[in-house]
Amino acid sequence: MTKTAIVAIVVGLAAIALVVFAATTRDMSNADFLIAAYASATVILVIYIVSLSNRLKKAQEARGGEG
Amino acid sequence: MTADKFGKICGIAALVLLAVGLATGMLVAPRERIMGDVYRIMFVHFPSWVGTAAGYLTAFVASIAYIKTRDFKWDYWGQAGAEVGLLFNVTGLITGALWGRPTWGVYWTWDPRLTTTAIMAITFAGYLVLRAFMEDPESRARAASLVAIVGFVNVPIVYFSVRWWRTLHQVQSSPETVDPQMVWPLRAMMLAFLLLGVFMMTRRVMLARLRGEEEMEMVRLEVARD
Repeated sequence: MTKTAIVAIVVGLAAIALVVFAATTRDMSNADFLIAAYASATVILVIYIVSLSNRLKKAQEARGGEG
Repeated sequence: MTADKFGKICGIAALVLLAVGLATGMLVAPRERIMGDVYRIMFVHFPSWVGTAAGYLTAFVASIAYIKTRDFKWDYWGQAGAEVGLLFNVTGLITGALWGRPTWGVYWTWDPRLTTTAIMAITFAGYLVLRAFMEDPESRARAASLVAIVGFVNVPIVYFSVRWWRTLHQVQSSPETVDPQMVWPLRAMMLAFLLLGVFMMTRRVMLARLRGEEEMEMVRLEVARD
């Protein structure tokens, strides 16, 4: 796991936690849709960043290994 | 400054802006009079379209540059722009559906804005599928560039669709029609998504370059063997 991937996961979890906290403590209307929207966007972006940074690390290692 | 360093700076700036935008959007911005709190989906939905436009515009410009120069550098930017643009496009479609259900009563409807946006996603998904199925690097880059150029024609149609065909989706809001306490979180999130898109594209270009170099070496080896 790369440093970028770890940062992305931590930030993603913090973002979802903030939305859940705000939606529940402030008794927001349609909180379920609000949380679902932020959670889905966060999951999509975090999965892509984790996947991209891991693919990049592997490719860099493969090229470095050849040299 | 290298693209790697520039990408890292954009990534760090995006994190700061995301924290500011999300905190103010959820905790400071007031409740909307008609929609209630569900309008807060706007702070992730609209920035997704900023990322989409940035990605597809990059793919479009890079594809024209590739067709003119035949320099693979532009092909790498083309694929990065299309992939990141599609990622944000899907994010926008999903958050839009989750906003549509409580406000319109449906997750999806064949409204011109939604339909043209779906066509845009399918076109750029096709771009990536085309790349995956073509082996020759030059013909693949040429064909993919043409798809990106033709596919980009839909982007202004998506933007103007809400003005040309007035149906369910609202027209674009302006800062004059929105509470200032809603405008700043939205601006912070828009800039954050733009910078996040740049960060992802610089990483994707680095990956494409490494794979491209490896592919070129394989082609050279095969030619030498023959």
